[in-house]
Amino acid sequence: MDPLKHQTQHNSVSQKKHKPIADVALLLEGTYPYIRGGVSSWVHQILNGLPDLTFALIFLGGAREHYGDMQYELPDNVKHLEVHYMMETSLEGNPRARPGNAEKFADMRELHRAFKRNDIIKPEVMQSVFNSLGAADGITKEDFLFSEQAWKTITEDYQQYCTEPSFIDYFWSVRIMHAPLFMLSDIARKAPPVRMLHTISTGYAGLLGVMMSQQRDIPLLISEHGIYTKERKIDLAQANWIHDPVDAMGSNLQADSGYIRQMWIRFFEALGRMAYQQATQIISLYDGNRQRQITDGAPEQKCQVVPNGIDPERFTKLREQRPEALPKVLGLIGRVVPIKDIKTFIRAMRVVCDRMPDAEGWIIGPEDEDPTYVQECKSLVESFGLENNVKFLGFQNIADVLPKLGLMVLTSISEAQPLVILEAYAAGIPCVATDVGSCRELIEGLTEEDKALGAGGTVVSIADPEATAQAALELLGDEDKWLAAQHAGLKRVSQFYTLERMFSTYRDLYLDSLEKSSWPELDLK
Amino acid sequence: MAGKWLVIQAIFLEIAGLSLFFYLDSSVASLWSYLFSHFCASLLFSLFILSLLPKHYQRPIIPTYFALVTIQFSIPVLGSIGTVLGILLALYLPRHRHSAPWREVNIPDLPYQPINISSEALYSHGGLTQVLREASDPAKRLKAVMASKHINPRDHVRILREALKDPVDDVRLLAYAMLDDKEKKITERMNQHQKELVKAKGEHHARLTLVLAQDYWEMAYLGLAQGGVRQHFLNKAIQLLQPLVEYPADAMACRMLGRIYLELEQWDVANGYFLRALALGVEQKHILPYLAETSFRMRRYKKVQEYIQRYVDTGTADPGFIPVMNYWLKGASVGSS
Amino acid sequence: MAGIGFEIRKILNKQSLLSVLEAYGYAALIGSGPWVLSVIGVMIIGILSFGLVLPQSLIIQFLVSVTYLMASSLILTGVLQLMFTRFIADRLFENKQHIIFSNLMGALWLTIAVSGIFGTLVLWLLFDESLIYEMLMLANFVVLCGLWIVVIFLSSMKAYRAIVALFLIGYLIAVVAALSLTAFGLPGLLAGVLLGHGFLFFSFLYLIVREYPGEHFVSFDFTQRRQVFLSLALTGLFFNAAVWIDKFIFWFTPETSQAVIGPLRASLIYDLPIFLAYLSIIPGMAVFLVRMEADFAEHYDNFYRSVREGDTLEHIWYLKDRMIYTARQGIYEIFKVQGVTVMIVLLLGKDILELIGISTLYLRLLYIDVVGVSMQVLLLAILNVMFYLDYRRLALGVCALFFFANALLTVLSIELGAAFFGYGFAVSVTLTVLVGLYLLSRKLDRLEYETFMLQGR
Repeated sequence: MDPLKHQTQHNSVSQKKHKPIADVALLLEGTYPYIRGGVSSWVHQILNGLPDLTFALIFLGGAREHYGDMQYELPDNVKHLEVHYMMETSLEGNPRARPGNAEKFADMRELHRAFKRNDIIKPEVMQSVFNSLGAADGITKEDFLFSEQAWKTITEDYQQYCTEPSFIDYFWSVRIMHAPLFMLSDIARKAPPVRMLHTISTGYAGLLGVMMSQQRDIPLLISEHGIYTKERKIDLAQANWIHDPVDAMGSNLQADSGYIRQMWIRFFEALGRMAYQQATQIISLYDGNRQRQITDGAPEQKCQVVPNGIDPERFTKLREQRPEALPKVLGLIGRVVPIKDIKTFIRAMRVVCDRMPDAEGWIIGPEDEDPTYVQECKSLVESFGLENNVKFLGFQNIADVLPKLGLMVLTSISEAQPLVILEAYAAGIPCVATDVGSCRELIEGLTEEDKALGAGGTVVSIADPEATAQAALELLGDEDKWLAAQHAGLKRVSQFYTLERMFSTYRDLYLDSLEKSSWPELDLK
Repeated sequence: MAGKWLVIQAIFLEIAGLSLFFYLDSSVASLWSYLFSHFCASLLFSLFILSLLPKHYQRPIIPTYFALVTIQFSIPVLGSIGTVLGILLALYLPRHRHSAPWREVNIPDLPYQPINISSEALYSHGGLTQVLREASDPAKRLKAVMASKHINPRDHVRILREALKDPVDDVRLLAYAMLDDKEKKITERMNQHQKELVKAKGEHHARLTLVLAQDYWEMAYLGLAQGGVRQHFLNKAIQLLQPLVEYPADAMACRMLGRIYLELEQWDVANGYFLRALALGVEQKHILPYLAETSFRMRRYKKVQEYIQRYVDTGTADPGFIPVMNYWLKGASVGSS
Repeated sequence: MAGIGFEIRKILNKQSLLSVLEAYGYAALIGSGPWVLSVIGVMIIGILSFGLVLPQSLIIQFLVSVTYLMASSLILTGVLQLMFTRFIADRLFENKQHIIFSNLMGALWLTIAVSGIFGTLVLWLLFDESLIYEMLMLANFVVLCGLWIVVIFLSSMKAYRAIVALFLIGYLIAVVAALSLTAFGLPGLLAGVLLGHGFLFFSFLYLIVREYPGEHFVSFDFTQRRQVFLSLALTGLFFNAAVWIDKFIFWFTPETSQAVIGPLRASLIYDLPIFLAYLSIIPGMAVFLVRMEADFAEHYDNFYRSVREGDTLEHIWYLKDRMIYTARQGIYEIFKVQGVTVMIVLLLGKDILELIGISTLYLRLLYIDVVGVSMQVLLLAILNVMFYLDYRRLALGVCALFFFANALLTVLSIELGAAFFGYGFAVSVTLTVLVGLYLLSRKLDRLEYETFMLQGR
């Protein structure tokens, strides 16, 4: 794969005589192929499942040091991979006074007004802004950082909107917030020619999609597993690097967070809205998320649910490998990161082990994303004296692990549609999962027909080790109950969640978009 | 003394040079002879001054010496006198910079910092839970979670736990993130203290043990840990504190143990520790309310009344305590407060 | 350095007529600087000893020698003055008092070594006077150079009564010593001045060393920041050279000058009026110090604090306006005070000249010089604002303009004949003030844009 890595092509975008190098450019923010996880596996599946289409991958990372080696072997239909790190955006340059393009700045402000009004953005405004961003005759990064027009914009907006007293905080927030956009516009310009775009999130990747789609006039598809904007909001509500002004006089409880925090939240909301507006199709994994996208500004007619699927046949063998006796092993398959709430799993294990001292808890998943959290989890295990019961197995081939598990546990505080539940079902393992994303649908069933199959496990509320442990103990301690759950899960997955269904839907979506693409068909020799 | 000889030689050389200079009637030869003797005098006298400089001014020695020689050579006689009086003397007489206890400042301008006071609902402590349970608009519940930041930590955690069961993902996620943050901070502190504890000795060790026990206690008390985990933390704290209440017993450790056992609902043990803490000199106002509680739990109502009376007599009773006082001391004399 | 502003403000706060006089008197003393005082002191020595035994030619030799000492020492130390001032001000702002002493010693060592070598070379190559005269000139030169460095600190010191007392004692020593040494002729007078300045140099040093005890004896941190170093060094050099270039041109134009002693020439027709005129800047310098070091410094501080510490934009603007207003007000007040001074000189000039027994032929030249030196005070005020706002390049440009304009126009004025003497200086400094004001006000309009958007230039 090496020759593909870091390959950048400096093609002139407007010249369509250049042959596209791939059908679809996948825009990936912090996932495949450098980070393992649900989204990444899904991408890998799509790439492998649609071998007749070709792909170019554009990876956007945060800081370079957070990513190690490639975690997946890229299939042959991946024709291009380029990697960019957003944190490497610099606010430096040559600070020289410059006027700045007044006309382009006016368009840019029109765009911001539309955000503030929650209006639909006029296509011509969007086009003007994204074609001028980073262009020498538009608004370059230097224009943004040093020009008088930029100063005028910042001061006027501050006066008009900002409710927080500190101008210098506002000033730097605006700069830090927008600087990455110039990097994105640069990426968009230099990216190789493709026939359509598919972004796996909104956010920066979504914006890159908007830019490329605007600049090249090609279709943009959005698939969201989680809801990017929502996740950002939670991060931002907590972020310590934003300081809220404190009302030193009042003892009242104020719900309002500071303007700058709000500004950051609105920034990501705006990125989402632009992506939704520009997209030709918006796909979510389950109905809850589809509703959410619509609230966040996605036009309803573009929205569609395509659930993930697995290949139940692959797991038949695993079911046969299962030992006679029910193993008292609780498995949690997932990256060791806070959103998976591994700690609650560990706490639950403390309770489980009080009642079932020979029980084991296996944490199966890569530990390289958030080393401090991993450390916290490990010291939590120590402080509970659970060193002999709870094991961190790192990344494993799930086929090796699944037959040894007695129960699948999912403690996530947020999920979309976790594949591990489907895989566990297929391997004949019931699940205890938190009430997030589509977990309730997966465990208890969605439609009447589905519900009739029975529960494939238990749904518990999040961050509740007691309840989690209780549910696990009930299933592991009651063989009949366990068998019933196993049966229901198996039925559910093969009836409603197969890979074949997902592939065919995506193939149709891609072909439909490619047909509309203004770019000539790929010459596959 | 070498210093004395240095000075005498330097002065002699300088006088000799000067008299030669004037004796030879300012000829070129006299200039050279003067320059030579003046240079030697400067070298010697600089050596003398160098030896008298406060120690830390002597290093680095070579540039210091050169500087001294340069000044004295360039300004004959006057330079030497000036260096002794103007620099050397001044170095020994630094002005004491007292930090003034107060400073005159001008009346500042009115602050141009209009913090935008939201016209939206402000919640009262009790109202937050209400909003969280009743409000149908998720945005409202979200705001209630945000606002709960400002109330006392224990109630905050309680509200966040409540919010974790919210049907809407956003509210749950926010509450979770806030809880996680709180816990992270305490855990970090714990790890830090644990690390320090290994190295600490004697008095410091005892103090750190107390601090670490406090961390465990806080984790349980705030409600960040529950069920078995909470039990575990409390036990951990007891384990840490136990050695501290052996003789000589630590008063604060006794008090904390009392609170832990109170939390564990072992009333009589708690009562014992509170009594010990009181005997060891912990201020009455910090102990008496707890004693009243343990006595109440143990159904020794006479004792309850007695402790409350004593608490009131300290004159430091919390205003929130008034209904309790009124109930228990009905008929009895309510203290001067 | 704002230390003096604080002191002056404290005196003014007593709110009595006496305190106003005290404040402005002190400001006049510090502001006009020892070199204006030296002019007075040296003139007193000259005038008093004139009544004694010495022939007039000796006294003129003395006055001219001292004038050259002043000019050359000011120009030479001009290289160091501004950058060292800046260095000290920055360290005081950072609360790093402890590295001031060693850097002062470093700067003094450098100054003394360079001035010693420079003086020796000049005396060696150009002079053929008695050795005792040459050695006294050298010692005087070195001491004066050192004194100009030490004087930088005066405006940061709080012990202003001690400073006033020392000034008085210093010049008393100079006058008494010079007069009692008249028996030795010219060397006697020079020795008197040397004693006076030597006393001032070391006694100020004593005050400073006591105020800022350090850690080492010598260090050269002030030469670290090359870029700042270079532009400020050049600015200081240009400014001091510009102030003296017209005099030098008059001294070394044969038609306007005569040899006095060794290679030193003087222009009797030009020198006397302009030195008299320099005495007229004392009120202007007092106002300059009060307005710039006390008022402007305070508002400058408020402005940048509001920027750094997160004020609202409106308040930042408001404080900027206030700052500009104080600058404008300061310049306006200097203008007023110097205007009044000029008026007085215009009205009474003739009487003054007659009173001190100087030919009224000088009158016209005195008038134009008074206008010129008043403009020079304004220029100082403008430069001061530029230094505060760190417009180093602008200050350098203005000083360079002053230098070249003064040189060019002075040569031109000599070409045009006696009626135009003095115009070279007056016109060039006026031109520089106008250009400086224009550039400064244009810069100030964009102050907040440049402050925020063009950081780290």
